[in-house]
Amino acid sequence: MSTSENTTFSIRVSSTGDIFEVPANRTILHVLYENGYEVPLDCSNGRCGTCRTRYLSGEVDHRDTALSESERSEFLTVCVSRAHAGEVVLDLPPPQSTQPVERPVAVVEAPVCVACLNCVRFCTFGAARIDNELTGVGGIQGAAVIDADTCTGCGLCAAACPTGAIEMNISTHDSVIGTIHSLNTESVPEPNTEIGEDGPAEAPLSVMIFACPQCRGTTHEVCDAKSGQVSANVQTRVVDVPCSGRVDTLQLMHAFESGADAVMVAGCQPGECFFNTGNLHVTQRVKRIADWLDGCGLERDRVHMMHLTPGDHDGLTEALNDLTKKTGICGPSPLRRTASSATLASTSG
Amino acid sequence: MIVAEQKPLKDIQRMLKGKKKVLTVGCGTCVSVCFAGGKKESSAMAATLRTAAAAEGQELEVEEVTVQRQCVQEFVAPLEENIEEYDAVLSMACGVGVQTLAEKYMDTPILPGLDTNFMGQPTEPGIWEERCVGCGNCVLEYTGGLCPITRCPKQLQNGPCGGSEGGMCEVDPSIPCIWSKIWTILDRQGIADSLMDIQPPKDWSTSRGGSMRRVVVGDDLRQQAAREAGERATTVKVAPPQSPMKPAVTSQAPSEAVELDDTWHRACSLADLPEGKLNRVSVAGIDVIVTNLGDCIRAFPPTCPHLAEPLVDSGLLKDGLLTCTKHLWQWDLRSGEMKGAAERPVALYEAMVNGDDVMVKFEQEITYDYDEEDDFDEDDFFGAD
Repeated sequence: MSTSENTTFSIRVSSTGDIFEVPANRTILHVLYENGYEVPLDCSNGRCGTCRTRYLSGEVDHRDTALSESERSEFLTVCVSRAHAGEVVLDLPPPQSTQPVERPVAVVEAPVCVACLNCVRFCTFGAARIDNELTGVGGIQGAAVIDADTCTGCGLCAAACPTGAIEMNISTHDSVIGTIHSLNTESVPEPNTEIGEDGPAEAPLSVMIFACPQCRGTTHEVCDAKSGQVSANVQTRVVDVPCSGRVDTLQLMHAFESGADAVMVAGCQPGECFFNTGNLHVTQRVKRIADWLDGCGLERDRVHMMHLTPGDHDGLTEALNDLTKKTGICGPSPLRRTASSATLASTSG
Repeated sequence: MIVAEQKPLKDIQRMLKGKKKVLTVGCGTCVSVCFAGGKKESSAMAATLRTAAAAEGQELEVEEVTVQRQCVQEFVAPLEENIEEYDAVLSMACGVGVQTLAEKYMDTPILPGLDTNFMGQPTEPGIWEERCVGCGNCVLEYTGGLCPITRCPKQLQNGPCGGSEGGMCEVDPSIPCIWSKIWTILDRQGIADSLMDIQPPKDWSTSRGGSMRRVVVGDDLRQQAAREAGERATTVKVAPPQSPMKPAVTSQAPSEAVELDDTWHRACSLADLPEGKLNRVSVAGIDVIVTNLGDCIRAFPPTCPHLAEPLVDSGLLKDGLLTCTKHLWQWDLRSGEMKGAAERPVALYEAMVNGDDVMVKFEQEITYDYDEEDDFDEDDFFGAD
């Protein structure tokens, strides 16, 4: 990654002819989103290459670690790469609207913040700080603020925030919990009553998988193409998260409360997290949940932290089979009936 | 900040056994910060309890609320509205918060969801360390701002102990020797010499062990109100114990020399008696310790009344408090009062400054009765006759 000083340059979008200036303190990504151009993105810090955009001309200062030299002659990552001067022409389709597009970032509700500094400590991008101009809980001077330009939207701070003062602007806490509950209570396919070779089939086990951006593709592929690799008797439900480190104990517990038989967190291998430490934090939380499950009378084997190498379909399949085998021994979660009957009650009422 | 951690789930379940409707009350202050009882943690606890109950096929309704500071009556007052609906309240606060609820809502069982550990600070994400035991008698003035009472397993006041290796503690090699750190800090400030001043045994009377402690900032308004109502304040003033000795009226400043009778003997010149030191002098053939307390002169026999320990060697004098460091017998030399572990008074000779001279009055030498058999009889230890 280049350490050179930032300078102002401009970008032109070939399809519309729009020309925008990119000031030294902003990125192409910021400017595009502000003007309605939505580019897919995951890490926002030059590691994943999801935001790669074709450019037609310009002296590009590549600052990512995702693109190869050959890719760089054609593509740039809009999140970190820049130009020293002049104009970069981007090959982007016209935007659907010129209204600013919201980028995933963390926001703080200052009056709920106790200025505990956990966000400051968990953020590996220096986006969180305490602003003494703000008024925190109880009218006390000083509350956290997240710099939207520096924020990568990983959600590590939101998971670490003990008061709920930090929220993600797009995948809010409530919406994630809502997703967990609705996925778990959506109609489960009727158990196959035909008597096969192995006797009557049992109701499938329900496994909820929280998947980080790097593991998402592999996870969906394995779960969708269950051609005999993952037992057909397993119903997988995948919750996409911006980083495994966004998953907190409350979300994990809600997965069980809403009837999951088993829960897996699919995060990167240690050292491979796009956001540096997210996979380590969630590993600790998974251990904590395992203890809680023991205490709940469920079994600690029902939760598993999977450190996945992207593309390792076999590894994930094996881990899933292992998890479902162990869970199968434990049997269906005793909460499944409660959770589904609760849904029935709410729909009928 | 107060640091606490969640009780084991099985303990909480045992407490809540048989309850049908429970309220978890989180606290938005200290215990939020240490991931024990804030809004998120108490919600997770509620979810866990619901899950556990459902897993066992039991009926349990758990609702959640978090207040700003559970240790303050005003913040828990809004719970009054519907607290009667619950069979029990699980307080996710420190012990102070639990008691605030318990005293306010006496008809509802208030149960502790946390174990309150200590006052401490976060040292790295997820780790909190103890920094203060609340002894009520802060020594940080002498120790470079680091607390040996909290952080030295031996609670040494005059460390290090000699067992630390490479700056780490010998009792717990995973923690730094705090005395080594204290020395480093004072050395950087150029005042490491101050560690040569021996600190007397700590006064623990302000610490835990007795009754509930109370801090009053400014006037105790209740007592003031009582006074204004013309009633007797509830506090009984305890008069300081009377000294067995006549209070000396001598001053350390040279005085007008007066004629004294022959029971007064010259000990030394005032110029030879620096303040705060124990000086053994021979006065008219008798060994006496003479000391200048700044506002008065004290003279006493040279040995400890306990086991005849020479006080010039083992005595420690600080602010008028004499300590025999052998067994921590102490005396306030100004009043003659016994302190610390002392079981016998120290015998004081009358002493004064006359002109430039320090004078001691006696007709014969004072000696203590040392009943060595009593003190050394091992049978005493085992209660044998």
